[in-house]
Amino acid sequence: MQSPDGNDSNGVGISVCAINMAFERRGSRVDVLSDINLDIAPRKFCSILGPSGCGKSTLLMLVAGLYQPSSGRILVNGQTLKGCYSDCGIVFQTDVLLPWLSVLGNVLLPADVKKLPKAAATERARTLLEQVGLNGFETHYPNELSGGMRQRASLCRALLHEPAVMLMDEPFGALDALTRERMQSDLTKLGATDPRTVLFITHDIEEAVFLSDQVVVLSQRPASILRQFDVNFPHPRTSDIRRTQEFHHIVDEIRELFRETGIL
Amino acid sequence: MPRRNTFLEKQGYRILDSLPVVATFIGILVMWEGATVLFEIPSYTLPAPSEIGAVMIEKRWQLYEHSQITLMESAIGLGLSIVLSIPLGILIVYSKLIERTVYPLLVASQAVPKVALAPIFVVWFGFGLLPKVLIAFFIAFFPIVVNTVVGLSRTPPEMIHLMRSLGASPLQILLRVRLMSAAPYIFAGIKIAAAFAVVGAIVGEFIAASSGLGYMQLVANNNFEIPLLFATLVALSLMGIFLFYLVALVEMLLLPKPLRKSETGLEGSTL
Ligand SMILES: Nc1ncnc2c1ncn2[C@@H]1O[C@H](COP(=O)(O)OP(=O)(O)O)[C@@H](O)[C@H]1O
Ligand SMILES: [Mg+2]
Repeated sequence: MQSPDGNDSNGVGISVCAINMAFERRGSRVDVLSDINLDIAPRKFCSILGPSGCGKSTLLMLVAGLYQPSSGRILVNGQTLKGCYSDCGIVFQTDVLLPWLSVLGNVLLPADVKKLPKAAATERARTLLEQVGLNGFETHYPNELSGGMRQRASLCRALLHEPAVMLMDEPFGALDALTRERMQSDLTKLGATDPRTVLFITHDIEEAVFLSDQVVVLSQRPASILRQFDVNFPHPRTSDIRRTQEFHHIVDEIRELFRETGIL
Repeated sequence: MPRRNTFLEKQGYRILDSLPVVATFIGILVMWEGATVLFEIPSYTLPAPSEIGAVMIEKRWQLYEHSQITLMESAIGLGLSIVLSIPLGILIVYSKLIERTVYPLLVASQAVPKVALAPIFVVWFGFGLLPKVLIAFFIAFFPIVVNTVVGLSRTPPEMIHLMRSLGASPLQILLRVRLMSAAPYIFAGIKIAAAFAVVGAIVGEFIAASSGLGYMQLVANNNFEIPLLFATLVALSLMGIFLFYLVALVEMLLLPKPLRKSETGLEGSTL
């Protein structure tokens, strides 16, 4: 598969180099990120874990190129990021569906903006919607769907243009436990993870360990990296790994780390 | 078996819903009619509804012709204000310079009672259509600008982030997201502006005119034809309602269903 930026199926690597970020507002200054260094290998799944308000969303916005760092730089596919990085799909904390478009219209938004061939895009949109069980809801408006259905539609939208990078900001944070577990499995089924590099933000330790190859734990604000964990279960993963000793071992280790640093 | 409401059934419910209002209105008319008979209120103080109705039928052509003039003045004034206000609102939101220079002046200018500009406009622009159109325009202008500005700036930032991340140009973001999410505010502004424009046209006619409902009212007043005075008032109200529903119809045709429930984001509009 050839993606617009010319990278092949080997995927896109992300390097976050010496990033500092502060917000200035009316003279007062809030330091949010302090000296973040992070490498995500191509086609790997990296989770960011950290307490609420520590700067996780800010880090994601920086990687998307939507914010400019106060200092440091971000390399995507070996190139310094300037402006927005558009070969990525973003799933925001809330669904951010446009209320005046139908579900299908929302999923097709990337194709509309990027002027991709209409017929092929519609075909793909319908397939994606079917995979998450939203077939039959194509012509519904977002306000006619439940929270879980809306977030699934926004996941389909992020995947429509086959981005090399997926950025997900606590995508399941607002969902009930049952829906959340279902969507964690859906991610693999949809191909949201497979040939892509994923940056996934969560405050749920088990979710992070279940999904990731790499778990990055952030401190309280201003966030710096406390520690990184490698998770070596093979893909695709099933719920069975949640019962393994190794899974619990990593989860406990992260929990212990949170306890030591006074986050838990 | 689940049943779907048919279109006709829905219309039926709507008529049922409005029944109490209609009943109240008829009740008031009946009481009014009764009071004028019971207390022998003279027609030059308060004519009975039946008398007003009779005059409306008798003078229907005259009322119709003068309504057309006033309607034209208000509609042109409203049209002008729509065409100029929305782009100005966009400029205010997109240009820091205009936001800091023009917008504060515009807001401050609302302290001027615009109705009081009417005599000046007559001095400047004569007795024809122009001064009435301009007064209607000046009064209708501000609510649309304010609502456009409020609507555009309340676009959720996440939506703009989403569009930027897809590589959308600023123009695409304006047309596909910001104007759409501002549309309910803009239409709420236009509905208020429609009512204001009629007021502007009449005030213009009060001051200097040889036609229009305002002129008719003045003449009826001078001739002590009080029932006719009330008849023109009814015609004016019908015209205001007509313009309001015309805007509502356009809104219904243009906007997808989730955007139609328009809320008023109006701040500080005065006549
Ligand atoms: N656009 C912004 N302007 C000013 N301050 C911001 C902005 N975005 C985030 N912040 C501040 O940065 C800190 C971290 O925010 P965020 O990245 O959203 O945290 P998290 O996603 O980890 O909960 C918060 O204290 C917040 O107040
Ligand atoms: Mg966040």
